[in-house]
Amino acid sequence: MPGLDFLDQLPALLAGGFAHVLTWESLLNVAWATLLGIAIGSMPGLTATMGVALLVTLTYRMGPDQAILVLICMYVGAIYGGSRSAILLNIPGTPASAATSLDGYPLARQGRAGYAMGLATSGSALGTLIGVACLAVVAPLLAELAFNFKTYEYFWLALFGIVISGTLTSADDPLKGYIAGILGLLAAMIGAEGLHGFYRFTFGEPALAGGIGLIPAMVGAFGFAEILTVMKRRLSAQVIGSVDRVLPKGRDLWRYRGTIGRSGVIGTAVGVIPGVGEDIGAWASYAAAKRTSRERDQFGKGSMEGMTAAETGNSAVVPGALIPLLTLAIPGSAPAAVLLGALFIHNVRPGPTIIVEDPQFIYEVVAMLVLATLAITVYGLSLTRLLVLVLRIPRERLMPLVYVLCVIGPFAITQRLFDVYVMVVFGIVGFVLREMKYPMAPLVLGLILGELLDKSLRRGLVLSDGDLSPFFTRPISLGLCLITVLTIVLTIPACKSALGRLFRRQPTGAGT
Amino acid sequence: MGPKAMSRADFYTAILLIALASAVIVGSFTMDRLEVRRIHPASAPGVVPGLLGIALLICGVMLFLRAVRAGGHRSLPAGANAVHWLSGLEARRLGLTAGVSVVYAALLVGWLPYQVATMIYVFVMVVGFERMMEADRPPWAQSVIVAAILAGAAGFGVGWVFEELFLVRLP
Repeated sequence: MPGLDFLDQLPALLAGGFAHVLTWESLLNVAWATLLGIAIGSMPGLTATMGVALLVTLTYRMGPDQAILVLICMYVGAIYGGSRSAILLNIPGTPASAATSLDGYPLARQGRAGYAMGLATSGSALGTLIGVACLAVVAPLLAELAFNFKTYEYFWLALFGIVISGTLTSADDPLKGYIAGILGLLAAMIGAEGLHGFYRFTFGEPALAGGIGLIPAMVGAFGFAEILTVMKRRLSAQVIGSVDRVLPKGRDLWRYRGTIGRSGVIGTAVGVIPGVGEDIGAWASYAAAKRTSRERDQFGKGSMEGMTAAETGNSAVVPGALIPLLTLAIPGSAPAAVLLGALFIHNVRPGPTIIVEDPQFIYEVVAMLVLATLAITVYGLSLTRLLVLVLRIPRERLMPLVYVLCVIGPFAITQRLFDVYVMVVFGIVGFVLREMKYPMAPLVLGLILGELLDKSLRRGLVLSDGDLSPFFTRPISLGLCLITVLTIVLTIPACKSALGRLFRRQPTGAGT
Repeated sequence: MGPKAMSRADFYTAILLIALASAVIVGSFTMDRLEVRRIHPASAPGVVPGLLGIALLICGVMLFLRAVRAGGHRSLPAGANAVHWLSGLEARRLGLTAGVSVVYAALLVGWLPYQVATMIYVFVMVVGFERMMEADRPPWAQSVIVAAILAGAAGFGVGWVFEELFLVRLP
């Protein structure tokens, strides 16, 4: 068991984190970035990933602390903001809010839009805080555990990330999730490789020597592809106004305390799983709440409990996704993947060594998340009617402006037109793949984890002189290998039903 | 996309993936193994891309077989359905967005001054989409005035922010 000694230092580390972040400059940045995040999340077609990716390009001149603070506020705000359009338009502002619309919109149609938004705000805030508490405690433990990881474990970790992301983000068709992941890994193979500096698949093009830039690829896959998807259809939904009470009643929150706690834990756990994301957190929390609720017959017809579960679940994913990001440099969600790119741009190197080199940083992130949570609570409960106005901006006028930022953003980082072309290619390929139900998260995760997978496998083989056995005999390696294989096997219908039969038979056998 | 269209799309995609995977495998196999540098053979640059190519080939073949079982190969070519879709509003909206956006990013930016390219792009997009609306279509004059204001704001506003605040030398 990794040491729990850090728990004694936790209050001091937390105090240090807050002291570092609590400045007037930070508060000003929290105020505008969270509000912008809520506005972006509210607008169907503008996702949290797109928001964070575009903001990376606007913050690269800032100092690392302020840039990361701004991006975290955008992330938290956008995930929360998606609930606005889910409740008022029945169109989730971000995929994370799809489960929210199931009960949020019926509540709005019953004339309780304001109360639904108030409850969603409380759920989001509490979900984020549960995740933040887990981040503060789990991240150092995971970082300490990760010290035992060698090249063999990192290989399996990278492979497991792609497999689990492909499986969970494309639950109906995991094969497409795996294909997306492999395509991402292959894209990561372009350029100078990490062991010998050999140029792979560059075809003599000097611009490809540095590989595919993460930010241009993300802006393309989540920005341009989203614009194409959104502009294809004309939106004709009517915004429902809100005139009722907004502030949630204490007794409602108390009644759903179990749901909030469970959804917070589920959301955080989903966040820790590499490349899965907020939508899965919301659906998993919603399903768990439905199974245990006394009012399960109301789910889908305007259940406050269902909506609270979904909102708590998706918001708890945010701090959860930062746990592997900070301790293993593996993002737990697509927006976290962009955040990882931003950390690299600002010369912040996350990974197990962070707990030795800069343990305070984890608690600075904790403080940033708490400030963002406070901001969404204040905005969510006070600006309900004003934020509705954002939903009335016509997409035909907004999207061209967003695309202008998609073009200039990647250019601004490296000042190369090549990165604009990368954005365009990833946008078009991403759009075509989306239309054919290929998930984007494994693709992006593949792009990020490609180098780790490549270097770990080859370095491991060199260390073992070509012997594969350390990949299967070291305890953590073996564990990760078994989980990876089991994840793939369980997606094969024949194996799944055979396992199901096996477990169904056991109780009968025990009884006879 | 309906199940029939999806299986047809899967069929074509599978062929493309198999071709890509084969190219990657050949490319990895023929890649320089850096023997002159006396590196360990297991660390040759083509090892991982080759393995990924094999994995993609397996997935491509599985997708191909699944698409064939679902009848994706029988409904070729798309024919009348494709013609019907291409003449629809959805295709026109997608065509305008993709076409103008690609021309802006790949051609206009870098060829014209950034502000001018951006103004042209925003103006064409806003006017184009507002004229395509079937319901709530604003009058011509209103579309043109709004588009011109947005185009000016985007061209000069975004250009100024990046040039003056972020010290980016615009394309």
